[in-house]
Amino acid sequence: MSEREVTSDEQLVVLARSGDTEAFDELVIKYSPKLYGLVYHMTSNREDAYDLLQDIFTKSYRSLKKFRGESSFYTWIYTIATNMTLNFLKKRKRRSTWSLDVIDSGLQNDQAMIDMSHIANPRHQSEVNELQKRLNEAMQALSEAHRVVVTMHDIQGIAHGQIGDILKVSEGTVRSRLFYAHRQLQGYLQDFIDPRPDLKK
Amino acid sequence: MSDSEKKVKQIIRLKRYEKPPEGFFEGFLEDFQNRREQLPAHRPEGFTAVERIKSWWNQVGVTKWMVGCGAAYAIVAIGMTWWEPKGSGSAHQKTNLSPVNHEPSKRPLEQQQDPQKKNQSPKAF
Repeated sequence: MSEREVTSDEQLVVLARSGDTEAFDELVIKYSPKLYGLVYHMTSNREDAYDLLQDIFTKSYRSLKKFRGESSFYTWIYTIATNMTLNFLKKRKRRSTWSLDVIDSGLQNDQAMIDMSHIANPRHQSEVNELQKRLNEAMQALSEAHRVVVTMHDIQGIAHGQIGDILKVSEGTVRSRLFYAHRQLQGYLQDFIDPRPDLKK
Repeated sequence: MSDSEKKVKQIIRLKRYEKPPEGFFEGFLEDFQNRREQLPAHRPEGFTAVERIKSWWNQVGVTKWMVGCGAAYAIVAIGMTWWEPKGSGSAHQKTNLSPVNHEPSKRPLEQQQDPQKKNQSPKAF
């Protein structure tokens, strides 16, 4: 990859639309990890996530001329990724085997996670793995409509209003789905939420 | 927010730290570049207009059928107006638009002969 000065997304998009493939490659490198998170949390399958990401970038490359700049490029491609992932899940007949991604070491420094010592202390790897598996199962038990709002808000930190814009639903609907999803997850994760007496110090 | 809900949100935070294994994205860009090369080559300028028309047509929805039927009807009507089948009497009328100056014949038709043939004698065999 050739060296170039740091350019904004808008500049890269303009260059890519005029035929500069390296400009689009920079966008791919920049946003593939973020979009991977969305796709992986929705599918829980690493191979599906990889293939789907390829499709997403291919489609966005072909549709680049339709990007009018009314939103940021990231919002635009994130919307494409969300729609394609939901369509993929609807078409997927059977549930693929789940892949568990590794946990980044940054978890050990997350104060919120450390405070949950009675649930899963990051310093105790086996507890974290167990929680990770259970959380994965719980997420997959949600419907796609509920899983996507949990992924976008709770995991990726996107605001309710922006989620509504991407999914083309009202902000109230987003909040309602989140509330329902949290109730569902509470049921699946009850063992971790209400610690057993023998785990208490 | 209830205590349980807070704990659920805390647990979900765990997924923020999930990441793919080392080297997962190593060949990703190359794979994408290969796919891009297989895409149709740059289209000519005029094709963009065709694409726009196609995009508009796909978005029109039910209305397109009404427009299509109306256009088809108009084409058929125009075609029937200008095209005349062979043997039709109206064809003679179409070609000669001048008003007909009709004068009834003074003699019956069978008695009307070519003046040149009038004095010819029958051929001897």
